[in-house]
Amino acid sequence: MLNHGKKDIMSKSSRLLITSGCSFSDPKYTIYKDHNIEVWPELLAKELNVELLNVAQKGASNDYISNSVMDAVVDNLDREIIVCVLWTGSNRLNFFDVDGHVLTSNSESININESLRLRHKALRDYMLTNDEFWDENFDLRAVNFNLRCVWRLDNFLKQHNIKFYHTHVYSPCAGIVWIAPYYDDDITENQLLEQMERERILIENTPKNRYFSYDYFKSQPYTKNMKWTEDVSMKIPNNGHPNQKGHESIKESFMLLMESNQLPYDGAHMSSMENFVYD
Amino acid sequence: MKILGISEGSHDAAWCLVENGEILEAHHAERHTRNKNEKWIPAKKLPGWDVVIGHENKERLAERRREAGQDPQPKNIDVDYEYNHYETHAWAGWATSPFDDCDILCVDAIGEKETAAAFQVRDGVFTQTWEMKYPYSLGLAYSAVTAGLGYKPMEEEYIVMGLAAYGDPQYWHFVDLYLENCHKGIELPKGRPEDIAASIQYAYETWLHDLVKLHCKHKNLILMGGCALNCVANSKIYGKNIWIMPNPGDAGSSLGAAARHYGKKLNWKGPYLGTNIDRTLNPREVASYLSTHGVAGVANGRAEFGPRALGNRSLLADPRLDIQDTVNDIKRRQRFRPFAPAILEEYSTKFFSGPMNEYMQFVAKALHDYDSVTHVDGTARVQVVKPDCRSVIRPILEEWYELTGCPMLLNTSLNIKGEPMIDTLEHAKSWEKRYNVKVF
Repeated sequence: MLNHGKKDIMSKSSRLLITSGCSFSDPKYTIYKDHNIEVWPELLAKELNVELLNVAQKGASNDYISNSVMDAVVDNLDREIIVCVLWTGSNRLNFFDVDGHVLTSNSESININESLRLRHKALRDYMLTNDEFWDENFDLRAVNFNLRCVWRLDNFLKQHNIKFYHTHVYSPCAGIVWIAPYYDDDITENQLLEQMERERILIENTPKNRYFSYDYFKSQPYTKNMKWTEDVSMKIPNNGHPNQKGHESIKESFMLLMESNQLPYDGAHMSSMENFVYD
Repeated sequence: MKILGISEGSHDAAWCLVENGEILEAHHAERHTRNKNEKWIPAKKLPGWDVVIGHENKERLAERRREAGQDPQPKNIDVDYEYNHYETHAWAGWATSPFDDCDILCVDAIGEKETAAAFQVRDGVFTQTWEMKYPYSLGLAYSAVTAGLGYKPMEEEYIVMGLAAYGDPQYWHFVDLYLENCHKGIELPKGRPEDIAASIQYAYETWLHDLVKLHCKHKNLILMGGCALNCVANSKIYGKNIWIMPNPGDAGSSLGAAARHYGKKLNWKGPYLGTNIDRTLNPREVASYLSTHGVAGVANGRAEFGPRALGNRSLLADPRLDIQDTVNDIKRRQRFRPFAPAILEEYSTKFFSGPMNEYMQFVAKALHDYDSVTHVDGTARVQVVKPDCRSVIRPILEEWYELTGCPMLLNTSLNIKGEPMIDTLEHAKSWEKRYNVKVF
């Protein structure tokens, strides 16, 4: 196995790993239970040998993910915290039902009362069926909103001097209707090219120097580290979610992020350096 | 007269035996002691000789070490003669090259008191035209960044080169590192390792480009020194006939020392100069095994003299499969690291575009979809396998092509990360048992 130098990643005794994400991170997601799958936050906590607080929620939006981590951090400020987040797609909007359960724009909670269900369903149907709702401007706003969620959490954690490692299930641009109106399985080469061009336009038009950092796209090498997104052997059959191998892979990705980020940020390289680079 | 060239004391010790212009054998010490990057030659492994030649001037080296505050280097093998560090680098390049007249550029971390040098060779006469003096050093700068990123300096610079493809060269001030003393390391900026790697790679490419432009005007160019292993930078030199001896670092200088003493060209037949594993190999059987199992090792014939496995101590894999992670896991390497393809020469230009040769010294753009042998930037460090290649990899590739219609195989060294390459049959058998990968 890879040597992650895990002893150095967290050193104090009162340690807490806070994780968040959508169904890709939530052990309560039914299909994980059916397949008896241990999700990546649990695997990561075991490898790091730390206590875990996983606030992931199936169907969560990035707004929810950002807020859930902030809440968890505020409740545990006396601990040494490390945060790992697996962001979801940008096409999600969340609402909360009377019990605090999450309703999303593309899924329905089973724990809502009838009135709320109808209102949610109406909104969801409107969003999914009304072409005018989805256009380039909406997508721009959606991507900006999602990047702002990332930026907000990043800044919050920096203020509290908390280590933060994050990556995306998909590109923040993926799943946006204007960009990607086609289903992956049926997509033709021309449609793929059109999609790539739309993604380029969107990235270029996203205001820079505010919430946007190119790192948000580029430091999430989802096509490489998150290889399971392309690899059927890492997915549950007939389902886009990762199987046990996929979760192991996500855990490995976070370990790699931690290992590589640790050196320049912690000055650990100074202690590991020999007296002379060349003897 | 049997001339024994030796290189030892700093890193990657090696020896080479030359007689009447024939290279009889050449070995890396680490493959015998099994200690990666071994500094010292195990004396009992040396063959008989008439004269021993050292690859650098130890007295001048000791002076520089004193000035730098380093301890004196201990002694091991006594030598009869010794030549200067960059002189033996240059001779290793020229004596094995197809050129008569040429320019030679040698760049590494440190020699005795110099850190790089350029030579002209005209009518067999060597003239040094430029040198860079310690503490300023291009190689040291690269190694200091390597160390800062947590990798082993003088050994794992190639990992930084591979990592660079994932990043952006954001730290432009690295280009000025050649004006700083990097011997005790440098403090790195806070940022992504891949961007730091990309920045030092960009800086080195800039330096190399400028040095070639300034000091190497002849169309024939020889690159030597450890930095000549930077295949990405090598590929960005245009308009030259380039020769790089397949072992351009200090280990190759053992051959350079012997060549310098011999004073003439050597009969270069290729890098297969090490320990011989003499056993029958059925190429069809290897190809067939690869087609069903995906991965197989080869330990056959004489070991390569140089850091690249070029077919005789190789781990081969089917590039049509998504097998990069599997092979990286077998070898205990970081998953971001790329693998090189070995391809039949006849098909090389159909599958790759750009500079490539039989020693994996350049990177070419991939024109195919085999991700396992393509780096994240769409390039590959290609080994072109010619019909007259002396390695078993040629018949294996021919059989592989006949069986599958694919003219290439993933080719990486038969070892695991941090361990020397397999050398003897015993090593091969033990490796096969330990890692459960068939070795032919």
